[in-house]
Amino acid sequence: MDDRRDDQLPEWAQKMFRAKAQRRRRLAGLPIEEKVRILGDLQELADAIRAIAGRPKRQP
Amino acid sequence: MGGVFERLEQALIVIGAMKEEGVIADYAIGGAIAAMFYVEPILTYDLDVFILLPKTQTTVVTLSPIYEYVRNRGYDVRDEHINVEGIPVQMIPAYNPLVEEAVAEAAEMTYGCTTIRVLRAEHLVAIMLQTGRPKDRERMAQFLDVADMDVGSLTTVLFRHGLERKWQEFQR
Repeated sequence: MDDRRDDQLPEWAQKMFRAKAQRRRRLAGLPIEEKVRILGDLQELADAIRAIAGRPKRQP
Repeated sequence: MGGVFERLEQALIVIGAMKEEGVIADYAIGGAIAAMFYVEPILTYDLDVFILLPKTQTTVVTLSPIYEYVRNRGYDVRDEHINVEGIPVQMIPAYNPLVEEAVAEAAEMTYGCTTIRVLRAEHLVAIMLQTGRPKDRERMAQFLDVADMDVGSLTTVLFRHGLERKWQEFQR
């Protein structure tokens, strides 16, 4: 039987979250120009999800 | 219309021109765009700009001169947002001593070829703490995790504006 407590994540999950945190730190260190280009991608992604969900497009 | 990078720079140029021409006394970029100077990219659609208005005889706060300025340059104003090249810009007059100090002590940074003023990380955290919405608390956690902050300066700002208790509660 698995005797882990509920607040203990399996090692593979902990590793995954550590990698995620590392990626966030790497992104934080990018030049602002690169971050704004990523923002453009995020906006396109969010707009596509809104369209799929049948929600109206955001108006500028 | 260009990509978001170029459009944002155009909006920043318009804001800088407002200061040069005396329409506003000073400004600093706030909100998610300011946060992106210190943490990872954050999804946002608008640009928040904290402003100090020129001193006048009256104490009534009015943004009419700003709206007139941008309309004269061909930009729309809708629902208190100025639309510059598709970027909704919200001009927010400094509404308390913390925000006034944050604008006055903002950092000069470069975006593309443009020098701009951006709220310092320590002031952004203090403003987020004071505002206290769920998204502010989430963003504060990002700052504590990855932003390069001067802890001494943050402590001084929090103390000066009576935010020590809120800070202790946040850290629990």
